[in-house]
Amino acid sequence: MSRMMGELFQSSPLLIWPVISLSIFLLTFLAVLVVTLRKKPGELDPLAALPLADDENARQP
Amino acid sequence: MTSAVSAQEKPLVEKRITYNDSIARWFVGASVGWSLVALLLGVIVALQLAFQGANVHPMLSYGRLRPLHTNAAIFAFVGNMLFAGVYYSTQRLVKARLPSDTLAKVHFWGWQLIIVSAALTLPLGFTQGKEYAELAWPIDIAIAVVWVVFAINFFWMLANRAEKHLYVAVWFYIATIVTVAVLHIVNSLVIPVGLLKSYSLFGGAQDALVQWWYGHNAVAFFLTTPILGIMYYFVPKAADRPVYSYRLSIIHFWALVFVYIWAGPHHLLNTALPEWAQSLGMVFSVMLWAPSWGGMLNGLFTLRGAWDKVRADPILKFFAAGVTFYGMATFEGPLLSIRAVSGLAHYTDWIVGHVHSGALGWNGFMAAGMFYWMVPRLFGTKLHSTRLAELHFWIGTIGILLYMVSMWIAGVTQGLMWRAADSEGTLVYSSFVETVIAIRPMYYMRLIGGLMYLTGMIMMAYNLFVTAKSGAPVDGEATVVVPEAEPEVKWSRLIAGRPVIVSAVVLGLLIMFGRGNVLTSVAFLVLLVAVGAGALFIEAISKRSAEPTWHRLLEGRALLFTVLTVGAVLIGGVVQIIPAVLIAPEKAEEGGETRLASPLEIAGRDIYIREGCYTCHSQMIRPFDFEAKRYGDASTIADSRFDHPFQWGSKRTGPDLAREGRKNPNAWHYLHFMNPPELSPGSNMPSYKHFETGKVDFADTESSLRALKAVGVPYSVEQVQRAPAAAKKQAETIVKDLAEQGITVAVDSEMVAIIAYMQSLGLPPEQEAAPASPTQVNASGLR
Ligand code: HEC
Repeated sequence: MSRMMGELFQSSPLLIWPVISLSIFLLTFLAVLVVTLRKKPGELDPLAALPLADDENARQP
Repeated sequence: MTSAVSAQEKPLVEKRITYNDSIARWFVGASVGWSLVALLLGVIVALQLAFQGANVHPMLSYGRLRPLHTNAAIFAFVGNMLFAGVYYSTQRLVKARLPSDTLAKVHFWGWQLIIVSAALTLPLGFTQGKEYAELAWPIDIAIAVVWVVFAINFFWMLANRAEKHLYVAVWFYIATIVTVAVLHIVNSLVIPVGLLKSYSLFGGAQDALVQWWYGHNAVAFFLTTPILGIMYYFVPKAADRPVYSYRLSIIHFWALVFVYIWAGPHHLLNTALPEWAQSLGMVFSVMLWAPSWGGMLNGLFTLRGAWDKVRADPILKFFAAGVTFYGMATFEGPLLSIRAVSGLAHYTDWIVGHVHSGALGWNGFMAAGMFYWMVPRLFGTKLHSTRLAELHFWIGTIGILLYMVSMWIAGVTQGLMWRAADSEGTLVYSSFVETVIAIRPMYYMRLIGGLMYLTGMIMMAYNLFVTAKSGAPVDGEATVVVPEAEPEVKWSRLIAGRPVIVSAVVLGLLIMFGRGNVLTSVAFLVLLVAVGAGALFIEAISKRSAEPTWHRLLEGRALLFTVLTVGAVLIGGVVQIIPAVLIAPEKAEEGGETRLASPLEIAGRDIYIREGCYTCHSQMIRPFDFEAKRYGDASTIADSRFDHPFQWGSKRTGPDLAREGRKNPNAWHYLHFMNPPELSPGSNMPSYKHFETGKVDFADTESSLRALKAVGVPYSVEQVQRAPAAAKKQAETIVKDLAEQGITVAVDSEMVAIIAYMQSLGLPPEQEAAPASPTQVNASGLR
């Protein structure tokens, strides 16, 4: 496996860039996932209600 | 939710604000109007594929109208729709009025002007020849300017916001604005040759990669993310209940933004693209299925317990169906990205059906739902006729289904016919036109589907018009808590504000990034990240100086999200394609010598691009046995190395032309261009009689070659200078050959140039593009 990877990198040294960027992606995404899942129930309700309480005038008659 | 505290240390006051809703009214009007144009063009090109005689004029032939249709649908219909939705919902979500009415007007009129210039230039044949990015370079610059105007107004509104939380819809809008700017700039890098003509900076595989990185992400960030934002705002509003799971919406956003930008190479499966890039594109496309369905389910579950309402309310019906079509399209997409499936489906009408389930089902229906919801409110009245809207829904749905089913059958049928071989391995349908004739009934069925959809939209336009007429413009109002005497935004502040400066710096860095070589590109990328991190740091510091209240922490986090989005999208998207893009020319060189096109052939290629031949013909033979049998050896990266822009194509309504050179005699091409069905009965290729009368100015070939030399095609100085003479000489040999067959054409006619180009395709380097051996030609065709 590691030999295959080594060969792959040798044939295409720039491959390191997508690998780095993929790692950043995975780490950030995991962080977002953890933070989001650790929210207590109800904590996000005010945010979810934002679109419903925005306009006082434009109600359909 | 108006109690959020501002970061500034000024006393707070309650204030009434009136939103700028006229901008939403204008964009809705424009979108509805252009939607009819886009759909009518769609119906016309559908008819042209079913019935060749519908190509009535050179300016209105399929190859020129098809780009106009796609541009009108994407940028005029959906573009105006998303601007309406973004302006309407963001003002309300962040509790701030649009800061500058002037910028809004510039945005609106600038965008309409761009559309009108597209509608004029494309039929006239001014095109860059890259799908969904066809517009001539001055129009590209106008698009960039208008987009920046939009971005300034938008981010200024966020800076002024009284509601410190950023609702998830706003995140989707932010991702849209930032990413589209990046995509547009990188893909539009060209060398101008004339006022409306240019050659792309990239060539061959490099250009293909950049183009499909752009094309794919245009679908992601122009047709998907803004509409998802609109979904997250308007579906809860119309259903009068919050989104099913806000938590899911956060995960949906991040997963989608990250994964989408990586999936681009699935457009280039089984081509000469590096293997690892293809695999990466495939894996990410399959992964994309998860966030897409997360979003779809979130939208649909928002309607849970409200199905009785859905039954009675056409608005909710449109939203429910729109989201469902989104689910269907995003299920099909990953499926089509699997190499084996792509091998069958690519270049066929299956892809066309796939696109339209997204465009008509998702974009069109979300637009309709939003319009039916907004227009009565924007005019303080009731919808003129709910029954008519109901009818629109049903006729539209049946139209889409007819479209999808017919294109699926057509695609699979043709895909199978192309590869069908008998036990000896000989192609069963060796003549391409047989496969065209087989699917003609499906083309008619698609036409009916499209007509039904158009009829529905006409009903909508009428319904909305009468509704607007019966009311009068009303602007939304809200009470907000803001620091005392929030000053009116002045021009000076507008231009020197932090968002403007940061976006200008980022834009500048991006341009440098796009222009540089490996080292400088990486340096600029590092700089980009540094700018992002710096902005973040400053943001954090300025937050800490004040008391860290709960609201402030959240506010900081919302901005953090913004900056992170920008960074994430840029890093993921840009870095991914760098290696492939940088390596492409090297790989091409390894692949062997590439033939340099002669000046006359370049003139012919200009005509090929102008006529939009690439909308029906590919120049990329895939590494399959059945393709080699039909078209010749598989294309290599070296073959197209000097093609600026690349001509790989994406659809085979006609056969691949990568190795067309010397397959047919000059006289055959002449007769074929004059009237294709005469040589190939059943062909739907338009006639190009105007090639006989159109003139090529040989003197122009010099500037063309000079521009190509500037982007890296290795012409010698002498070759550039002698281009006009060489073109004339080559033209004379073709004219002479045609004369021997009893055909008279002028030396400087476009016919001669396009034939020269056809005869040059796929030739090995050393051979001269001499005329093919004279062969007897008759009207029944040669092959
Ligand atoms: C509406 C789609 C369409 C457009 C646009 C179109 N073609 Fe075609 N073309 C076809 C079809 C279908 C065939 C196969 C039937 C035939 O031979 O006419 C074909 C065949 C050909 C062939 C014969 C290939 C072979 O070896 O059998 C050539 C050459 C060709 N087209 C060139 C062009 C050029 C050049 C243009 C632009 C000026 C063009 N086509 C525009 C559909 C199209």
